[in-house]
Amino acid sequence: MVTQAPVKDAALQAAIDQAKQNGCRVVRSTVEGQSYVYRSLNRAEWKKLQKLAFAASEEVDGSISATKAMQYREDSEDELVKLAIMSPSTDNLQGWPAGNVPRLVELITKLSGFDEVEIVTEEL
Amino acid sequence: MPSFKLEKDLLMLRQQHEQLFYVKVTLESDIFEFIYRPLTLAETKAVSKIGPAIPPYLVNEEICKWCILAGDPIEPGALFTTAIASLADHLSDNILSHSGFNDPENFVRLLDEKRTTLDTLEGGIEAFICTAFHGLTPLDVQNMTLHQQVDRLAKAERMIGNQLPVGMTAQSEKGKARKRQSAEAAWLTSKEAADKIDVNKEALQQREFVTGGDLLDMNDDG
Repeated sequence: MVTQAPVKDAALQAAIDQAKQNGCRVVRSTVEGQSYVYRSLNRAEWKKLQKLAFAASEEVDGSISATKAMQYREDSEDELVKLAIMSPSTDNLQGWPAGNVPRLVELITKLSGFDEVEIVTEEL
Repeated sequence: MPSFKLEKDLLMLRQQHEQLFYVKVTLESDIFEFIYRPLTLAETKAVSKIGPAIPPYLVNEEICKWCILAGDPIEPGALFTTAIASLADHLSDNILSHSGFNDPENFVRLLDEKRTTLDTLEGGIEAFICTAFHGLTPLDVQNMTLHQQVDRLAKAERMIGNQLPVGMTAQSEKGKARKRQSAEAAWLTSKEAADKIDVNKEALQQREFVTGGDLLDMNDDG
């Protein structure tokens, strides 16, 4: 569920304003009764995560190992959540309900446009 | 329709690129507009060659770097840093699909269009000038003034030893114009036109007035 309720925390509001000024999209969602404020990722952040994922999945000969990629997936999900979640604090991420992180990853990637977008093209 | 900012960029870009595309990406309430050129054959080959060797997100960025020429509200450079993460991927998909080197149907359709263009006076002038002056491209010819075009055409005709059949081409264009006029006339006298509002009647009255004026002048001369 996505809500647009006003934010009471002044520091959080300032962080939201800053994120929006930087071109990010910010929303609040409730997952399993817990409210989360998160923002979209920008290209530089996305590339950094992708680079780490490729480096972690690369074999000595330069090929990509599917097993290694799967093993790294959990770590990369944590990294993504830490980057995008603005509230609550992600310091105690290991203590969060297990299913919330993958669900938040889905929501964050969708907010970052990795889903259906409407594209109209015309020749000029 | 491109935004006002992109329209301004277009004025410049049209002088540098023969084919341009406008793309509007809507992400819920956010709208991003871009103008791009299609990939060249060499670029398409390079993408196929290096594609398997490097991560897809880097290939996509490379395509955007080559082809995205203008953007609103974000500049093309921001696609690789501060823009919403997925934009570069969506745009490179779009560029690849409109560049058309992998689509034989698109090739045939374009060739048909270009053959038709060659039948016009404009197409003939371009072909003559580019045949004679190898350093010039059709885009260079389009960027010439009428005086420059006619000057280069005359020289091209001398070099090739053949003249562009301007009369015939012009006649065929006149013929097309005549056909258009007859179609208009047929429509003006049709039942559908009679049912239309008075704008058409006004147009007819104006024509009658002009004709009447001509007749008066002739009488005066006589």
